[in-house]
Amino acid sequence: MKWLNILRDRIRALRQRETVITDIDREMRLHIEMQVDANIRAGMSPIEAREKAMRSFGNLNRAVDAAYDVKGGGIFETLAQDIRYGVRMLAKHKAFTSIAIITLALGIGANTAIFSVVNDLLLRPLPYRDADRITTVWEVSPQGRHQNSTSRANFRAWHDQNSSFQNMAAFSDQRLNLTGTGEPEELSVQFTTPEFFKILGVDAILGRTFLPEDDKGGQSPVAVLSYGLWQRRFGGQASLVGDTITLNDEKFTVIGVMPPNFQFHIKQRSGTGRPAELWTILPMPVGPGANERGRFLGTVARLKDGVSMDQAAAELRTIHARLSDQEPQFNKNYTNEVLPLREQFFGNVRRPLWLMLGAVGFVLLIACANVANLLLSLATSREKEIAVRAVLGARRLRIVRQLLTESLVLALLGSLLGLGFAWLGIKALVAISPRDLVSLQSVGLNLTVLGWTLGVSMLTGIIFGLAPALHISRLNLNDSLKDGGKSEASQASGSRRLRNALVVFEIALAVVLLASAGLLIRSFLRLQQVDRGFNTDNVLTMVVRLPDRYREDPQVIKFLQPGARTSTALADSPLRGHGQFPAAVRRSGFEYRLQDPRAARAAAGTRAGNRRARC
Amino acid sequence: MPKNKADLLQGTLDMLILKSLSLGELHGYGVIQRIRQLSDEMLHVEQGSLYPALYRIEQKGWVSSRWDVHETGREAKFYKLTRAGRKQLETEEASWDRLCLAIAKIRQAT
Repeated sequence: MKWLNILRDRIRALRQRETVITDIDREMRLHIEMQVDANIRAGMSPIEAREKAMRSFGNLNRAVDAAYDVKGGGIFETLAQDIRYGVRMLAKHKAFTSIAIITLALGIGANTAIFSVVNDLLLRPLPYRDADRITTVWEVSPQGRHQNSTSRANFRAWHDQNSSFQNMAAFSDQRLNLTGTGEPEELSVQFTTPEFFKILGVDAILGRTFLPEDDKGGQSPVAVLSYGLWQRRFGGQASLVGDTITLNDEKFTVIGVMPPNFQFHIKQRSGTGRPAELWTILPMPVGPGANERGRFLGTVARLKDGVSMDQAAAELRTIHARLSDQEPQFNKNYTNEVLPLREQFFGNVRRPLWLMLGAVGFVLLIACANVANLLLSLATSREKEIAVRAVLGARRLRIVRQLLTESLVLALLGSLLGLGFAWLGIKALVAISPRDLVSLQSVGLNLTVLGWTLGVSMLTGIIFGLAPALHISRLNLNDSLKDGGKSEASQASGSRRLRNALVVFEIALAVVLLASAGLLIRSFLRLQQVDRGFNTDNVLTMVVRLPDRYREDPQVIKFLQPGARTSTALADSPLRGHGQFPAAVRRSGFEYRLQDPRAARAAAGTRAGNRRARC
Repeated sequence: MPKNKADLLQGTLDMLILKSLSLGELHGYGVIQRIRQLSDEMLHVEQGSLYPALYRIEQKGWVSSRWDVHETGREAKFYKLTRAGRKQLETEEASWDRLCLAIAKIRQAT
């Protein structure tokens, strides 16, 4: 209430300064008139009465001033004055202003662009319900390989024996061929146990997600579609729910469609390398003939309320130790680990990102130093103006405030242009970002980012404006007011010292940046030159999964007959794949040649094995 | 005229203004007169400090103001206590009484 009234008065004074002053003046003059009347009534002559009234009132102007301090624009008014003045100053020094704004815009723009990525990946909540209660669980192999897949048997043991998790689901990404409507297409499919969607806390926008009954046999398998697939292949028809679609020659019943952008993609552990477009139930057979030992499953789980990540991890370790004792031939020296979801998704980019933010912070500091330097050189030509102000009674604090306001105006203009740069920068970042940072597609200039930019630009304005402002306001009036405002040697040398210090600071920062950038590039080049032991020039790899119809090798070879001069089919292409995949072992290492001189040389690594859609 | 600025504390001046307005609507001149009368000519509030105080009190919402014609035919700005102002006056009087009592007790100590 009170602040509102004050604010209203302040704003009124800004817009109608004269009216406010006239009002106060009128009220006081009428006050004097009443005193005059009273004096006359007390028997004084009119002249005496007025004289006395004026004397008792005191200085009218000072009284109006004192009243205006309360009712006037206050700090708003001086701020408005300073901003007006600052803009005028900037307009007068066009060259300085444009250089300073561009310098600041580059620094602020780079900061905003990187921060928007940091914000998106590291700060913004993940798009699952209570995502900080969701974890992944992996095995750690005897060779120390982290985030190792687990087997059905081990998953079942974790699932049944733990008391730390509300729910636990297994998942596995595989490729299935969608046929029947339009072009055949290979889809990335996530096989999961029914609790999967419940753990993530995301519901279908159409139809439903999995129920425990969906796991029972004797019915056609169910499928949940991604929004993208639904739109792309089925024209977003609501009637699709309940229909069947054909995947690897098998009929699946569509039961639901997920919201746009829903995905659960762990690139490093994914068998397909791209986000799933379809979800179906992962069969968990038991008994003879069932593949219970093969390690190919990821695990996602939701903690019970009140159970910490560490407690859960400790319990799972105990369970796993028991498994090692019971089945040493499968589990000896294996342990497991629990990862928070954010760590799972972004653990590998977290440090580089903070590093980048630090680097662009340095760039901004360099920009600040640069602009501070420019301001100082401009100051020499403004010494006289500042001195006049000081002589006319401006206090040092007032002068510093005015100069700082100018800096803030400059910083704000810089950040406006900087937002433009940031927008371009974000587009470029998204364009060059690797596929596993899929969520980068949603990076943009949102409110958090704008707030950050505003904060950064205010801070910037203060950083580059404070030193020059303090320096200039410490003028020797006597010297500055002399003709031409030539400053004395001592003044000049003080200014030179400050400017030298700024240059030293800038170069130091630049050297740090250059050195780190150089090291990064060197590491990158060396990574690129690692000898893989074979010639990779003109060699391509690709993965094709064939349905059950292609049972015999000659059929496969016939299918694969591409325009390639030489091709080799392998169960897994070199340097990737799961060593313990039984199907892969069975099918590995057959080779054939095709003679076609027109074609480029290529190698097609195919997963000809593992023909069954569900393993 | 016995002038006693008595180093009126800021809050005290506010209380005096509120008190004088509690007896009815007044203009600035009237406030000063009333304070003088009520204090048996012992307290004289300076115009220079009255108006800033009045404006501040108005911003706090304790008084409202309007321009009107005075009985002499002159225009004047009249101030009136609001409900919030009346409540404020009560709190201030109460705390003033407590302060006086405390000081009196200290002074009577032997």
